[in-house]
Amino acid sequence: MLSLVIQNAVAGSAIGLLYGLIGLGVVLFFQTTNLMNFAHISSAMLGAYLCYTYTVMWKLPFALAIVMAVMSVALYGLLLKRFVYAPLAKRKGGRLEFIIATLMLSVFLLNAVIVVWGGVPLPFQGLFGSDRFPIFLGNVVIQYHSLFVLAYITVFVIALQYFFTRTMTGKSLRAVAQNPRAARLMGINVDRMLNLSFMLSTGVTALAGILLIPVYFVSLDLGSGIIGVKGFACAVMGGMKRPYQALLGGVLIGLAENFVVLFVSSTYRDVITFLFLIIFLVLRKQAEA
Amino acid sequence: MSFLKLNNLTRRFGGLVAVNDLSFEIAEGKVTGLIGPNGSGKSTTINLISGVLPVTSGSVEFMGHRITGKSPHAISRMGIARTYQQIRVFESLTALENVQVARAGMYRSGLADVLLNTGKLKREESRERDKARELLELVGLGKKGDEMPRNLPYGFRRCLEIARALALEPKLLLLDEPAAGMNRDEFMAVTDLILRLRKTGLSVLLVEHTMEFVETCVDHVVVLNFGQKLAEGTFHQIEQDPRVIEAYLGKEEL
Amino acid sequence: MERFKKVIPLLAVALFLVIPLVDDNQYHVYMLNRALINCMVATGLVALTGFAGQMSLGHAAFYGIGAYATALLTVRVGFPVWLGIISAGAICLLVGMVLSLPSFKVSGFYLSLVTISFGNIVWMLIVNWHSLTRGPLGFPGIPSITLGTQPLSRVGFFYVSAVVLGLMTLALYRLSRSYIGRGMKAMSDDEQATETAGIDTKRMKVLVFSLSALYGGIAGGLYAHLSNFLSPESFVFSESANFVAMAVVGGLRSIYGGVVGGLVVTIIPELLRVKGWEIYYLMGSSLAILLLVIMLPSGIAPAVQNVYNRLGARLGIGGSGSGSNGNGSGNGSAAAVRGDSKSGGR
Repeated sequence: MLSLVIQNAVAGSAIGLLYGLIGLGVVLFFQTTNLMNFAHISSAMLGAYLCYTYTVMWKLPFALAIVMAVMSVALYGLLLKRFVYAPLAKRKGGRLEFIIATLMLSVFLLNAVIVVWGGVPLPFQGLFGSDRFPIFLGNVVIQYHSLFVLAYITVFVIALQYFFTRTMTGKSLRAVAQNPRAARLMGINVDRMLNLSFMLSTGVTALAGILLIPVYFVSLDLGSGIIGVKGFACAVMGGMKRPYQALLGGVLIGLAENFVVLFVSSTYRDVITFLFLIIFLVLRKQAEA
Repeated sequence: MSFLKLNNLTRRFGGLVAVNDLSFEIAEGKVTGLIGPNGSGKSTTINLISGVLPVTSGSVEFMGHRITGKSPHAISRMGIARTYQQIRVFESLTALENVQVARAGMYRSGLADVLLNTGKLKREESRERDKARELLELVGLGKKGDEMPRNLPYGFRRCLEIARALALEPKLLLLDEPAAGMNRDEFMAVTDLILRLRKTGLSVLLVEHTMEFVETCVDHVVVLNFGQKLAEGTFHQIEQDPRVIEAYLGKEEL
Repeated sequence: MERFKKVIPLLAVALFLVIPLVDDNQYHVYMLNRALINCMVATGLVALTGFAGQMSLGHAAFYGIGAYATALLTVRVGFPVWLGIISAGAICLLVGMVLSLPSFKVSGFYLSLVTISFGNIVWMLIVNWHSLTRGPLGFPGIPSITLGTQPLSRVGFFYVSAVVLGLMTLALYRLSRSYIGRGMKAMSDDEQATETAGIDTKRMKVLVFSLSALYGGIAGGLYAHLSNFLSPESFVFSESANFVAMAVVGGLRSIYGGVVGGLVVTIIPELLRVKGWEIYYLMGSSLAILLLVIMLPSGIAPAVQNVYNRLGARLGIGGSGSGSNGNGSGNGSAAAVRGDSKSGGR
């Protein structure tokens, strides 16, 4: 039993970190725009499909494909700002209009992916050691994928931390997040920072999408509302403004899910997750008031 | 039985004590002024009385009833109406509708009457519309009923907010800095309005920085400092109180 | 002349109502029926989101609960169809009351997350509760609406739905003109100020959530008896999003927003369903809706009304505009600039 618990704890943390990474993307977006992008999760789907194209169809080395996929999605983030955010802001569209616009964008992207890649999940074998035999530590079985996720996220967090605390651009971005008006007075180009946060947010999510391939395959599930809402949940648990707490929130959700499956029921896993989310949202506000 | 009585009212925000063990009473039919330096807890006190903020400890009694812990709408319906420091009118309703909103408690018609558009509802709607027009007239907005609030000058917006509060037919009116940010004409109009209200016997508790305003409008003054009551009395008593002068030290009277 | 102004919208409605008599393509009539049903849900959302300011991205749940409720009641319990639909509405009304409870504590984005979660929970229950819903296999054999002993034709269904939608719109119209509707709009502007104006906003939320759930439930009930077969994918999250899109495209703050948006958003994909273009039509229609939201954030209905009023003014037709949105002209706006910064400081 203990080995099962440990096994689920490791697997849960790994998948949770990926939810958290999506949540981190949400936070990076919310920090500067005060908006929620409901097409957020589409970036994960785009990242995975592009990575598939670059590796399997163009036969590029995998590491290069990841970088290229993330960059391509970040470029899409710029388009998002230019063609959805900016025109809406100009016409004084409110938060609800932005939500609907991005929701429609997500439907559009889903259908675009169906047109380009087809609706059937694409197998992507051998990614992150998913075809390798798992590691046995006594009775505990650990998937290679979990270790890969841990490694990638550690490297990523170090890089992000470096970016935010050591580089001028990162510091400016944090300044804009905290107080855009003051940042503008200090001579920071707020619009450029906005561009950057659109790119970072979508790029980070694309990375999460690629790392999720061994769990969901390269499939439309990656652009579905269910994972998207879990990403939002992580961001909310991180107070919408604290990136690393979003990662932590993700781990909590991942663990909760795995243990619900272990001890309660796998059919109703998501039902319970969503019930918890509702309760959390309601209680959280109460604590603030 | 006192009209409005605050018993050891306290409100903390995290580590900050905004209102600290505050007790005072106000008398019926009088205009009471709540003054004090910035951050002395005046607005917080108004928010605690109107139920917009929950109290940390202590209580408020209104005409012998404990109102602490009641929801804001219940307190409003008991006869305590208020305005806000930053004017809060309903931007998507016309001026007339803004006032009508606060008349909701006067209707005897229910949902069924609304859906069936009964004669009872029509009578009540026209009665309340007339009442709202009357109130707009009273505050000097008689011709502006169909305007959207965003098209009204600042002073008129303030008067609209006061009209909305009066629509509750309150026994006590709480005004949070009614004259703030006004030009001379607007200032005179609001002063005049409050003097007229005082003549009708309405009790008012108001927060104000402008000493000229306090001097002309107020019967009784309560001075706060650091969330506590510093002094109490008529304006002329307060004016000469050395503790009050010290608290305001360096502050030029307007 | 004022009368002339009222004639044109009535004429448009009359023209619309004649369509099924002229066009005997059964598929067209079926899609019109679907559109009317969508209009009902969207009208409920106009009340909830547009008037009362409460966001719901889980309305497909009410649609689904309504549909499965009447399906179960008519097929397994043997209720007559009309009673099944009414029960569906009543059940949704109760569920709507329960869903209004979180809105006491959360609003905005957080409320939209709560409602998404609610929608997902209901959807997953529909998929997994096989003994009740048969899950992904679908629920077959739901009876059609009957008139006497004859099953109602699609054209007949069209008129039944049109009457129901008309009643719903009338109810919303009366509500919005009354003290209750004013309270709702005030609540969506500023909840705290509404409370201190003596309005119980909690009661208001319970009322508006149950009303829009009722609309969703009745729409779902009608859908069950129109299609005679239910399957879970009609109630997924993207359907909820679609309903909100209808309300936004039509015009959230307009009474007719739900009707206009429901028709437009249901018909657009059908117009794009050209031969040889099938794989692109969903892509095209979502792009079209996206563009509509970006170009006309306040919706089609107010835009049409504006154009219509302006045309009327130019032609010298009753420029008073007594009952319209009252977009007061900009006199005195310069003086108002100082007062328009509103942030709830303490």
